[in-house]
Amino acid sequence: MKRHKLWMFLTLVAVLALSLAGCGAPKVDWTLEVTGGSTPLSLTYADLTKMTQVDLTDVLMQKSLGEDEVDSWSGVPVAEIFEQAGVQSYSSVTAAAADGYAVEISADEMANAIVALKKNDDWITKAEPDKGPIRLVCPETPANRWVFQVQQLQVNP
Amino acid sequence: MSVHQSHEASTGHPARPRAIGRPTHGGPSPSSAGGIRPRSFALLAIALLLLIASACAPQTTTLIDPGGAEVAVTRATLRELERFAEDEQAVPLERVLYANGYRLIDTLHVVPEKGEPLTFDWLSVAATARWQRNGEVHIGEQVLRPARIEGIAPQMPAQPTTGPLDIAPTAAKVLGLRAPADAAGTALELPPASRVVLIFLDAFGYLRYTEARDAGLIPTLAAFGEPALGLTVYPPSTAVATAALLTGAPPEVNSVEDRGIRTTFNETLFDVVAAAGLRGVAIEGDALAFNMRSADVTLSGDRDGNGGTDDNVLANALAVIEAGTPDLLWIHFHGIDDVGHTYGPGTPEEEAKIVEVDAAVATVLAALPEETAVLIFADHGMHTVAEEGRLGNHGNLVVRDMLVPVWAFVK
Repeated sequence: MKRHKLWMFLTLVAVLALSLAGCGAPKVDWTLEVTGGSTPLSLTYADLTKMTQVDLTDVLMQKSLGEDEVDSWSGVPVAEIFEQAGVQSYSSVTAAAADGYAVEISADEMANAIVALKKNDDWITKAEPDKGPIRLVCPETPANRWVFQVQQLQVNP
Repeated sequence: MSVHQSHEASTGHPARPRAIGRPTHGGPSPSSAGGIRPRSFALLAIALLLLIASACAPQTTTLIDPGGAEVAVTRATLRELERFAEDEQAVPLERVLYANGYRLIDTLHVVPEKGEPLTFDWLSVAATARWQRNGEVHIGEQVLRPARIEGIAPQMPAQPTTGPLDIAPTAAKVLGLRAPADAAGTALELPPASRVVLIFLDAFGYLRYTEARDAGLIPTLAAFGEPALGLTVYPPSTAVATAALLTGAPPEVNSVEDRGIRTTFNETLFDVVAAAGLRGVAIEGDALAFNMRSADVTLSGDRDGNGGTDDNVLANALAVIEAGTPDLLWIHFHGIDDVGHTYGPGTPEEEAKIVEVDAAVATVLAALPEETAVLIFADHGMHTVAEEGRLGNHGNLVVRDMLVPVWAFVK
């Protein structure tokens, strides 16, 4: 009987440990460069996970086919990143991705943007590895602003 | 088509001699305990086998290629094109036609296995026509099992003489450089020049050019004279055409065979220019639709918030020219494509954009120094659609999408 209880206890501990391990941020080798402010930043994935996280619920991404997508995203507000980077004001931001894609986004379109780490409560790096680990999310804007695998945010005066 | 052989014939064994003296009448045979005679049983089994075999036999459709030759389209044909399938069950019918040599289609004739022959206006059905793995062909509302398919080319006043593949070799030749490594195009004849400017008019197809010219919308472009008639690459879309423009190689070679692919690993014109120690600059709109490796890239976002980027592209191009025109300058005006998708070709909004781009070309030309080779071209055209979210689109083997104007001259 004692042995039976011991096994139950060990199983519970194992389940708890595994659950807690699943809650932690994944270890990812990724760096986001932020340039154009008074303090150029180089933020690792781990750095981003430690910053303020906000949730954007049921956000619209406009697609040209009329097949708009609505999802929920979590991540770091771009405004907070820019504050750290010493950005005062700007007219636009050029966001560049790992595959060479880049897009210039106006300040108005960037107003509520976040650097997302999660989509619909799942880490992007696990749920959509080809579009992660981080993605620029610009609510209520066309899909070509939602740069996945974003590597650089260049702030334009 | 399948051919059924007897087991003996197929294995080479001689047929057994008939049994002599076997009773053919009267009295049951020793093995027909259930009342079924062996011959009847054998015939029934053979009939059943034939039925199963015919059901399992691969269906073949005869496709008449543009040269009039008969080509068998089988499941194996479809498997080779599976990478273009939007789902596991179907390949776009147009991919099958393109793979068999079609470049322009006006109408499609289909002879079903059963029923009357049908004719389709390709422009109306191209975007959704599918070839299912099970052999069915879906065209418009029709679900067919075709025995024969033939595309009919449009009547053309002239045959295309150039296309995107010729642009990189032409620019390289003007600069005294070799063409990119995999270029298959031919350099257009131009007088000597000191630098090259490539002016890219997104979605300004050849038919739209003739209509705009006749409507008096494009005094600048019309003054350059009749452009060469170009045939763009398939599918007619910006990324696929850009890869062909930069490499001089067709999609099958540069590996950019569909929308959504943003990089080619083949050598580009900008690679050749950079390797020679020359300067290449690319002025794009708000988004870099394609990886312009080796170019000094400037994006032109809508910083003034007027809803378009062509004015920003123009401003950035003029700034580059004023600072000293580079050896190679690429200027990409996106507006006609953007407005065409939203409002449709031929609408007042699209016509206004064509007028604006024509004026922008005039401004660029006026700012350029003498002895500059100028190549003006489109990546594709556009046709009218009635879809949710857009009224113009491109991507099919139709005249409006595939034919493009090409101007080449030296200022």
